[in-house]
Amino acid sequence: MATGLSLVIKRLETIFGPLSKFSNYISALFLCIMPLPVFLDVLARFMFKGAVPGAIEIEGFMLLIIVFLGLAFTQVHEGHIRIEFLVSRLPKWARNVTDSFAYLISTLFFFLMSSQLVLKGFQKIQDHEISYDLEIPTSIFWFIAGAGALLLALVVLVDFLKVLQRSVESDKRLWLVPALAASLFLLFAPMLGLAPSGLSGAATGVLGMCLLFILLFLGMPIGFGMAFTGFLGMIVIYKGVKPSLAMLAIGPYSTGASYMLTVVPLFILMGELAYHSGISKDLFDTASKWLGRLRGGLAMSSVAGCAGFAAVCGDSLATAVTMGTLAVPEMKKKNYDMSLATGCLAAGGTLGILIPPSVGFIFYAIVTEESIGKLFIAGLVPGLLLAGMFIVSIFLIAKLRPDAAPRGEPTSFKEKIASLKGVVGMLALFVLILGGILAGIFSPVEGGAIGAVGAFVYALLRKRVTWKMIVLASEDTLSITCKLLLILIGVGILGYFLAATRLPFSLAEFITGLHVNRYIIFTGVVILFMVLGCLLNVIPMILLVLPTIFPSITALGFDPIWFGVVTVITMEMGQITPPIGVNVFAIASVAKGVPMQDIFRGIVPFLICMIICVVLLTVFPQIALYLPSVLFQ
Amino acid sequence: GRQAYSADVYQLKFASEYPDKHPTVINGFMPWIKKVKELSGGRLVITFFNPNALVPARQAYDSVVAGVADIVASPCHWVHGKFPLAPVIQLPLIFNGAEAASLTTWDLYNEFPEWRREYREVKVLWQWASALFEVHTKKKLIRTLEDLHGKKMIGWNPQIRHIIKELGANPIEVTPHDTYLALERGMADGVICPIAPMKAYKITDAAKYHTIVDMMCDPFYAAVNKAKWNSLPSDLKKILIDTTGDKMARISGKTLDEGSIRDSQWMKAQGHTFYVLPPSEKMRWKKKVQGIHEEWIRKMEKKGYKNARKIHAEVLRLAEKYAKTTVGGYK
Ligand code: NA
Ligand code: NA
Repeated sequence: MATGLSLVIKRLETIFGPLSKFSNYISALFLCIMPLPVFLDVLARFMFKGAVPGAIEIEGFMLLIIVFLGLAFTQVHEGHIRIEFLVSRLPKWARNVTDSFAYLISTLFFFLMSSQLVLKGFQKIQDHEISYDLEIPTSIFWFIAGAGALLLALVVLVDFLKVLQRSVESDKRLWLVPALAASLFLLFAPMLGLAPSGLSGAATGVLGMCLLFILLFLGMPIGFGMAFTGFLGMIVIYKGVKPSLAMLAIGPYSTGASYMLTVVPLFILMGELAYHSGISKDLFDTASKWLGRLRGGLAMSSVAGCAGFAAVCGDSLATAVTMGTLAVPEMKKKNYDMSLATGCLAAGGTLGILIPPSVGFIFYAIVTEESIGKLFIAGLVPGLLLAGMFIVSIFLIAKLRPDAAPRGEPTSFKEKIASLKGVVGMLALFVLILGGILAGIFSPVEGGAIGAVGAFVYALLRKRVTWKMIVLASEDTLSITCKLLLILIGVGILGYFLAATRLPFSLAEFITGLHVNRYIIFTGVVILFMVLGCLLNVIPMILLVLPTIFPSITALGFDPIWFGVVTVITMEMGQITPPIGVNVFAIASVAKGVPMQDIFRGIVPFLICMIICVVLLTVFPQIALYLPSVLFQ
Repeated sequence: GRQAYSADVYQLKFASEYPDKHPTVINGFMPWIKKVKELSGGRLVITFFNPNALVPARQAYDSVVAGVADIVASPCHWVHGKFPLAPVIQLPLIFNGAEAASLTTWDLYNEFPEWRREYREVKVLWQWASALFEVHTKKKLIRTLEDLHGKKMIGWNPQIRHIIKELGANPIEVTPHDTYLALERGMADGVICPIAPMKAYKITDAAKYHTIVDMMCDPFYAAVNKAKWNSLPSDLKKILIDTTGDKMARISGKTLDEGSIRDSQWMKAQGHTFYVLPPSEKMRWKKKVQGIHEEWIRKMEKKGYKNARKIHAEVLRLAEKYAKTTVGGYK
């Protein structure tokens, strides 16, 4: 039987492998042209007082196409983001069993989602529904989304068959029976009407969250788990399957076709292009010429390089990887303590979401409806402050443990001055974006497209544009975008379920009803963010919790922009805290041979800096609020 | 069946396009929800949800058809093409205020079977129309067509951008959220939008000159899921019908007008300049946009709506009739 199965798997892989790759190419193509409508719109407005009709609508539809056509390849290529730390400790056979459970559910679930999207497409044809601006039949986009979900279902099916084969070959194969039965039961029993009834909304919500955590710890990708939990929960709440099925179509579609979210791939693309055009290397070279002679100078240069690169990159993971690839080998050569070397890069990378542009602030703005422009400006000073604190702590570490951070080569003052031209590229792009926003040439959302075009032009000027470079930059951007957007799709469905249970409202009422000092509540919220940040990837965690917390925070009289900065700093902490520290994982993949626990040990001083930074912000909110108050009057 | 148990409590989830701080929600929807609860002796409980909380706002129609929401209150244009007759309400320079536009929309629903047919998948409780779009500028008051000529004017939806273009200005597409910054930084000269959302989006900090032209408005509908409606006992159905219809059409429009009046008075207190377009100048504007009316009628007739011209004429007649009995959105 196992050989028959392996033949089937081979056969399916030869079909779906190329198919998902092809669909990813289409997705990459749309990503590359995505900056154009907004760029041309801004240009038309600036130069001819005109506009490109339907630019906003086109961007939304492009994001939908990019995301849905990229989902399958992301699964094949690297897999969607999941919590590994529990399942990775299981013996191999047990891991195969939990994986078959998770993959079977996921396969069936995405088949279901795809069918609903396609059905909706047919319904839109009947309804003659057209887009509001360009009057394009919307059915086209429902069908594209359906096709993307179908392809994802098919590649997850192949993954399922693979773990099934491994399980069947092992002597613990009997365990498969309860695992597969459990997944079929979990999916179909509620659909057939076997669901707990008589539960209160809040109880259903709590049960749903428990189920979610179980699924996530069993290794189900975060986005899959959230979407699936939301789907099941809605069946229970609505006492029927029709609303849940409808939500499988309308939830993912509205997340994908969202204009606000188009900035996410664009700012990530900008960072990728900046990296490939050599900006990161230039920055690191300049910093090490200036700081290299000091004890710990290379580590300080790494942080300074991260801060500089953060000014042209919206994502913290990309910042960490970019500077990590450059700086880790250098520090290894100079006999740095690798715990310090990797720790400072993992932490330094998190500046990517504090110093604008920032995907972190974008997500915060999406949830809270605050101004992205103000949030960007508010992050600037705290970002520089935190970078300074990182550098000071490296200085102190080098003082205490001189062998951990040796001196580098001396450089002449002339060399130092000459090296300054290395920051020109970064400064030019940074000024382009923030300057353009502040001068009113384009909006913060449009800044993503402008930044991507700007980085591309810079790469052209540096003669760094090659076919390969474009492919690499767009593939990496797509991978990060699809991972994040899939989680957002899950967050959406889960959110609609939770809203129907009214659990978030009850919680917010409970918190604001506690008659204690508001700073105690604030501290509790920050600790909650930190604890959840340990377990979850942080952007999804914020997306999950913030809608519940935010109304209470404003009700308590805290400034929403200031709270945004605090939230982003706690997001940064989550990126580096064990067991799920995405930046640590990223640096570990760059610094081959450095054990994970050494990196986690290395982040401790920087984590302390972040906590001090939050305290400083709480005592002196002006650190964050002064610039926006001056620039936005 | 279940209808026999008349003591059952029926819970309806209500997904609204307006958030809970909106004057129409505070003075229209919430009092209605309360009244329904009272009249039913607590047996019919409607739970209000902010936009995008229970369902994605843009998918409100699909959500109520599928029963994710039991009731929605949503603009017709989120399902553009689904209600082809509704855009007649969006034609330029017809109404004096939201109340008149709302009563007209609801009358059309009741008068024309082809209008009702478009909503056959749901049970419509009432229809209404948004507050009227006015002209708001940053630096210079707009008094004439010539003042408007060549200005970069923000429009939030395709219809208003179409009108802006016909009037000789340059339409700019910016989201409501980015409008404040766009004006503040000089990306655009002004915006044509209702007065109501300006305070919330802080647009009032940037645009200090306001010309009252009553440019256009958007039609809305409030509807119940069909299966849910059918599951309600007849006395509860009666409560829902008795408390909505023209009553809610009027209240929805009136609260929008009152909100506009209150906000414009607040702006005046902040030193803003207001100017009401005189009838003679308005005639010139009307002539400029007359083509949009004809275009709509022809397009609909081509689609097979034989009554299109009749419906259009009825809209004008009702608008005139209600203009006499309503105050509009500016005092
Ligand atoms: Na950044
Ligand atoms: Na973490």
